[in-house]
Amino acid sequence: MKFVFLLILSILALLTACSNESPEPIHFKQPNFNTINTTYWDYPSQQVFNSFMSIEFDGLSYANKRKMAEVLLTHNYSGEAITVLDSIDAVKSQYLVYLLLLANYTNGDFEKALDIFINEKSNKSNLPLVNLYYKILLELGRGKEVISHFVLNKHADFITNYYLALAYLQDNQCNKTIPLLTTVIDKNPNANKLYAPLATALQKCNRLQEANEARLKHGTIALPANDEFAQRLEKNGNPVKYTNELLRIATSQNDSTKIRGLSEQLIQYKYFSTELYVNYAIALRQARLLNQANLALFEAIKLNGSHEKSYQLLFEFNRASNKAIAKEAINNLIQLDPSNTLYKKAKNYLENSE
Amino acid sequence: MIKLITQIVLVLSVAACSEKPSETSNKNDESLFTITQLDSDPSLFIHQQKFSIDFEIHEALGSGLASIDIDNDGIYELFFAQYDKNHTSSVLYKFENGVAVDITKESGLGDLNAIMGASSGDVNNDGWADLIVYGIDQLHLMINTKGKFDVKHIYAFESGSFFTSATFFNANNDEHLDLWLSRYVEMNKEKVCKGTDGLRLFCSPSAYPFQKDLLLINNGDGTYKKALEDVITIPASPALGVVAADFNNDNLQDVFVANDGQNNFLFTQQPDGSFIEGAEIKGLSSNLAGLKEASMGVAIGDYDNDGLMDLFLTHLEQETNTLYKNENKWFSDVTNTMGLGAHSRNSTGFGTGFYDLNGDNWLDLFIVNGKIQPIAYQSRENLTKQFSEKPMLYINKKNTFALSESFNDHRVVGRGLTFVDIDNDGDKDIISNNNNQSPSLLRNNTNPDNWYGLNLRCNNRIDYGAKVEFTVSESDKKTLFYRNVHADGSYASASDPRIIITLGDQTLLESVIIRFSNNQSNNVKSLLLANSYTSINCSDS
Repeated sequence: MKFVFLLILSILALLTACSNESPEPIHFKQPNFNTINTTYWDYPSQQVFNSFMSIEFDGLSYANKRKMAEVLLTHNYSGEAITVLDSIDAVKSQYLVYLLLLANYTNGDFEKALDIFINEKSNKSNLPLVNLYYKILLELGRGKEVISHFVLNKHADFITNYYLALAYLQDNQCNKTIPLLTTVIDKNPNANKLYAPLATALQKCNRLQEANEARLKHGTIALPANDEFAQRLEKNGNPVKYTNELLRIATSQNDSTKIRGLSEQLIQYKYFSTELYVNYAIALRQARLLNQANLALFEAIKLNGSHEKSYQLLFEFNRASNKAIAKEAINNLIQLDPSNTLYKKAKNYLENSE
Repeated sequence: MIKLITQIVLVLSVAACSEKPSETSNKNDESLFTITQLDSDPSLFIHQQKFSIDFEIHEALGSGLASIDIDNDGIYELFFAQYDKNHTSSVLYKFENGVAVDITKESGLGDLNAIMGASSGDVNNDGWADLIVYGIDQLHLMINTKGKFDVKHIYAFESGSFFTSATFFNANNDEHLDLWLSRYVEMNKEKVCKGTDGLRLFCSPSAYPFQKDLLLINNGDGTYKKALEDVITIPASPALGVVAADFNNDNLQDVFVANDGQNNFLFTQQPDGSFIEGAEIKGLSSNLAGLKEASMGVAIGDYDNDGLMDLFLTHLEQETNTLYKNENKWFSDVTNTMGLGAHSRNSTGFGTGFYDLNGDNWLDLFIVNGKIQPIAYQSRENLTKQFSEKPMLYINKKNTFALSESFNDHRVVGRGLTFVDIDNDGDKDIISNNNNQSPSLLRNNTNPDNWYGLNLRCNNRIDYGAKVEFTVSESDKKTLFYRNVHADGSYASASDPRIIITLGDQTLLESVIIRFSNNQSNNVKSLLLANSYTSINCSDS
């Protein structure tokens, strides 16, 4: 069985090597911050703060530092988040650059935030980064710079277009704001907030009747809880938070196709967590992609070697088709919880069916 | 009467002895104010609102203060609202030759505690400025007769009423001041809210049922009745700030209500005396991005001299403060283009005001800040320190506001804020009532050499709502400035309503047109005396 695990580890190592970041060593003795939910309070967050305050966090892994920075940012410790992010020597992923930009912005270091963006190679194609850059420029009243950057920028999503529309509004070009905002509204008809800048632009262009209609829409359209536009804007364009939110919604709706796509996006961001891999595995299994589901579960176990649910799923997925993996999983479960009679029964079942 | 020779004396006397700079309009922002926190003398007022383990929402909100000339001697007194229910009361200070004197008891204002704010206005047109003080289940109209106050209960409000701000204004075009009272939420001590660290914090207002503001109509004798439903319909909202002004230049006073985390209200007075709420259609309910913000303080003033009253609102950290430019038929959020956006993101603003603070006649902005929620993972033991933030001074540079960096060392939990020429030297000084701390005095060092002060009166009282247009010329270039007479705005506070016109070495005052609230108007330039306040009555027109 060791052979199987080694094989898997090799495959994973290969997958990691194919990504645009150098593989990072696995620090099994380090605290594992990846299980921490940064959106809402959970008690392991205290662990991050204790670590930040009391240990040499320089020794932490890349992933742990990233998580530490996220937790610090979530709790408004932007200065401390900058310290952690600055201590990462490795080439920073696009997401890490995004976090650094966000941390400087929320810390009030606007010029430094803008410098980070200007010095980032992906500053024309990395949309979360571009969108945050635009947001900062607009808040500084420098809408003209948004417009001039956009001319060079070949990529845009509707958030980009939204900020560009606001930039034109700042630049008193209401005739350019209106069609742009209308396009954004067409894609997000329930995003009532969009009608406020539209109304202002219509007023400036002296289209008063339409402006009044837009104002009324702003006041009356009820915003759905999972409005994509609001989610993305209110999370400062944080691609991970936003994708996580969509993933949460997809999971609650048991939409395995969306779960797969969103999980893969997060893995692309190098945003791993045990929970992510477990849900991803379930979605893969529903799509009858058993081998990939197993790989996802092995990743979950790599992050948290005592994660019972991962072993349970491994057993469940493989008890009929790949008994070796199932047997290894059930042995691990018994090791984790020797008194659990269900695990013993499952082991007996496997042995009897051989 | 106990005389207290205080730090205020020192500050005022030092300022009085200092040499006047030769130019009045080119002051260095860094030296514009001498800042003193009046904390070394324990006999002076200290705001006390100890943070309890129950994290009751009012503990974070603090109190205001009022500038009021109670004895008509032309020198403003200061009323500091005190929240402490058990030990200390609100205080009234009079200034005699630069000495602050505690005249609380002899003025009849003793034993006023659990007070959140105060507003001033002469409700019976007897020529003596009255005071309304308010808080949770507290509403006392203090009637002033020759400097002595008697309490009067004017309205049988519902138990649990959480009064947060007030303004005296004319709601029906008669001769008497009506009263708007803002209310906040229905407190519920059982409500427990926790932060991202799992520890207690103050619940947001949306955790409680909202209360409705009140419009009380003056019966003509200083008694009040609630405005009828056919006059106004006021939705429930968590209101913290209120101002009255003529926003559409129809010579009727309108009311703007700043709501905490909910859409703001604009009640426009109609010719028949009724009010219609229309903040949404005017672009005032939310900011440019369509977001409802946690509005706390509010300032009114015509910052761009276009003859239209603009609005500035202070907000919670991670929101920006917001400047709404009056475009006549609607308002535009011009916060970012005017340089007021990004730098306010990390502060929680409370008291604020539009006043010319550097003697160039352009309206500047001042804001006191102070957090309202504990920092995650930090002890809840010393919240005052955690909440402390520096104030902000924005100088009006005509096309933008420039943030002055002169307050980096002065961190307080700023709440109420009053603007008053405390030493009658022709510039507005600033005093803040800091939550759970001693007050701050910011003595304005502009000390102009050439200024005119206007004390506009009608119906035997200060003429709230009167408008002033004055033209200043310099090298053949004429600039028209607009002012309105008001004491309201800021946060739970009342300011000195006198108007100041400042002239530099090379500038001339061309005209001063006053439009009183009774619509009489006149050019009063010839009546003004240099370097003093001139009282002008509408009957003089």
